[in-house]
Amino acid sequence: MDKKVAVLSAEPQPCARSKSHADLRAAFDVFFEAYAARDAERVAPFLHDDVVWTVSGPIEVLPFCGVHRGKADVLALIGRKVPAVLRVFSCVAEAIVVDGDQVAMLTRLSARRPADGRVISYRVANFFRFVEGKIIENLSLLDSFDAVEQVVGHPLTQPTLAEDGSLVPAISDLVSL
Amino acid sequence: MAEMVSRALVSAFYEAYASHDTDKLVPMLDDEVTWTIRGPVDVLGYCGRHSGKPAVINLVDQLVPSVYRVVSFVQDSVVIDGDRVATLNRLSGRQSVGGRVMSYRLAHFLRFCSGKLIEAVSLIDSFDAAEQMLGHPLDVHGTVTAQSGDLVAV
Repeated sequence: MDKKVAVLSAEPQPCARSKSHADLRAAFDVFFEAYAARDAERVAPFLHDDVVWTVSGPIEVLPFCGVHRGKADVLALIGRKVPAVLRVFSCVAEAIVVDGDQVAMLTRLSARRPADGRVISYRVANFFRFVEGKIIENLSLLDSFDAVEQVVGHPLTQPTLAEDGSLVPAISDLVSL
Repeated sequence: MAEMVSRALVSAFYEAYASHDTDKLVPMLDDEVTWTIRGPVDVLGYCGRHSGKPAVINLVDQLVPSVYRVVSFVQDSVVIDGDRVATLNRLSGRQSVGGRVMSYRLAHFLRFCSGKLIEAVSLIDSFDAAEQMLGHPLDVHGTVTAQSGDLVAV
């Protein structure tokens, strides 16, 4: 079994931040450890009952994309739906930004496809909003083109386009004259 | 101790950025600024890593406008923490060639130093953006599908 790695960004600078900022950051760090491990049981206490969790991306390739409403749905997403497509083994936080009731995070995810063990790695931006210490809203914005290319295992790039939008013929293309 | 970036600075920065006003943007950029935009550079020509002030100005002034003109830039979320800023935005633009309207979500992770932008990472819903840019769905199944006007040998 892959060892799961959760790496947090550097500790926040003390400066002139409020206690509530420190409290939210501390709580978020605990949430992140659970979330990075995709441990639904440990994530559960951090979710509001009315949480809305949106994941951007093409649902036909990444079936966990879309809007997930309510604690049960979000826990199913984290504990079952995502692992069915990608088994996350590393979640490295490159930036965590805390302000009022909001937390934004940029992470580098690494995962394996259950079907063939292929390793996939892409960046995700999360924008969380907290109410009474629990997450009520999250938007996950994926570098979806990169993620899909890796999941399907082939380039999605189209033939080269000229400035006027016309196709630039490539070697071996059949061109009528 | 990290500096505290003000909301006024962030607002001024985005006003200049969203309007591609390089006169206002230049003094807000550190000489060593790097701007990385994640995405397929062969479809969205402005993607990639842009290092140094001239390169970032070129990105805003030439590269992006060669692909689309911003019609609206709406900030859904602005998160400021010390010298770091994260924003979630909805960008709508019109393709410079063809005039097709595009709209997609865009996240920025910014870092400021002495009141100037020194680092930016842009993350977009790149699959959605690429499909809109190309004007048709991307082939996710790895098969070649004949389009109207294609010449097919039988």
